[in-house]
Amino acid sequence: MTGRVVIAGIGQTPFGHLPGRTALELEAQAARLAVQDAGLEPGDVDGLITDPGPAQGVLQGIEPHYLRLGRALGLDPSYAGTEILGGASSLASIQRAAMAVEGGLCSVCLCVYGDTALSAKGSFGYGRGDEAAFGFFGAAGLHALAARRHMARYGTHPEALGEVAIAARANALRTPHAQLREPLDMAGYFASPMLAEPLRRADCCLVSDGAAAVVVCTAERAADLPPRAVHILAMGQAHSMGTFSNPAHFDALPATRCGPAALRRAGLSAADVDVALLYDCFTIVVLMQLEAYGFCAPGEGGDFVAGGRIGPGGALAVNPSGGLMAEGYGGGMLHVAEAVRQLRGTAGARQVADAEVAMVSGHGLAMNSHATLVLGARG
Amino acid sequence: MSVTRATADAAPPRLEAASCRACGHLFLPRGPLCPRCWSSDLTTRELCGQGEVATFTVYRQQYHRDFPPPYVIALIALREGPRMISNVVACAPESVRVGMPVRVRFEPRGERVLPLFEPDSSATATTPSNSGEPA
Repeated sequence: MTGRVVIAGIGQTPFGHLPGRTALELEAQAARLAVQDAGLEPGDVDGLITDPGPAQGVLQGIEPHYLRLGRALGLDPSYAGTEILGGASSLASIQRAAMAVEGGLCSVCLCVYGDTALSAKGSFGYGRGDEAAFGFFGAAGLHALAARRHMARYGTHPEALGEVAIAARANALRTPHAQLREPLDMAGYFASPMLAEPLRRADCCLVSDGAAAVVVCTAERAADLPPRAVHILAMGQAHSMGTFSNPAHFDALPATRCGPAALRRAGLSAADVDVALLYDCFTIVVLMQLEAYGFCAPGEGGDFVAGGRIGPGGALAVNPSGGLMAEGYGGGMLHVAEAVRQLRGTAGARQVADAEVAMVSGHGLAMNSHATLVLGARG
Repeated sequence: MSVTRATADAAPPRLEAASCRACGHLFLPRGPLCPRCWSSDLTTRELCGQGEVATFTVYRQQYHRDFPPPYVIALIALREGPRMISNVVACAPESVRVGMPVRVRFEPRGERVLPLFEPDSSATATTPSNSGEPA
């Protein structure tokens, strides 16, 4: 892969409460912005991979999401599809687009996330399969099992989870478009209502209306475009299918298998990463990914984030735009857009100096699926 | 639920797992073949009903009218190896710990009989390598 495929354009709508807007409208707006940003015309787009988000769903009747959006955009693409890896879907859409353009299936592939989860008032307290018979509901309860296990194995304190939430809010204060621009301190964190111990409301990401899109093409194709392209250096994906039967499931994310391996394929390690865009559906997942990617040793995630070390001006720039917890829930597409801005040097007040390498992660379903992108300012 | 064949009117409920005749693997949930060796020569084996809490959460938010908080959702590591989600009951939620020995206790819930777990005071508090309890 190393640099032969690029992200040439990014586009996003506002994120937050957008009553009266449909997901399709928002997705079309993000798509238009991304194609414009790449310096391309709508007629240049011949690939479409979509991530319809948690509330919208993959199917409306028998129609998959890519068909609805492709029709709205007036496309008859050479290649199309919809990803269904939960929170890893946006990254998976870009991975699929990269393989498609490199494999010659299409030349300019649009990847689009969109949803109106906030306006739709969708519930995320869904029952977890057969286990709902015991009262096992919601994504928070599932991730609480991982958080409790981390605390029992490593002595991780609740304050470590608080640090992650506080850093996200502090980062978002430098992001004009962020959905949640209210500072949080440790007292505020501990005042947040407990949902499923040890996870509080403040440990959970936002629910949002909004859409974001990126344009993927070959570096060769991008040579004719404005010099804003960011290179895909490596990609990775890993899955743990046995949620409750796999004895290691709550101890180590699938990211431990695909994250360091992707960095190695790019000739890099965690020490080379200037900006980490970590999928942050719950605070505990940030700690576990810092360990999985090798930013710190297993069990040391709590120490790693202590004292504001992943907040503004900290030792490692993690989700400088605020992530899912404060910028807005954008699948993983907002994370990718921020990585691109950082590598272009256009991130404004939150720009990480001399950012050359970014990694982006996506984490989906019951901690089952993980996807990694390693991006570089140069190929 | 694939965990038990418990019925309210028949024989006493038993905690069972799928068992592979080819390689001896015991597993939950039951599936079309052995997930370790892919043999479809499967049978069922009764488990002793003892295990320990691998991890847990105490629900403080109400998600469903039939489940008023607080209650404990736990991942139980059964002694024979398989794992399952259940409730830890008959104790204060605050007393539940990772590594805590538990034993099965069947309780009716609606039309079903569910395998729940309660503290097992008879068990020595062993700490298998995967229990997650700090040394």
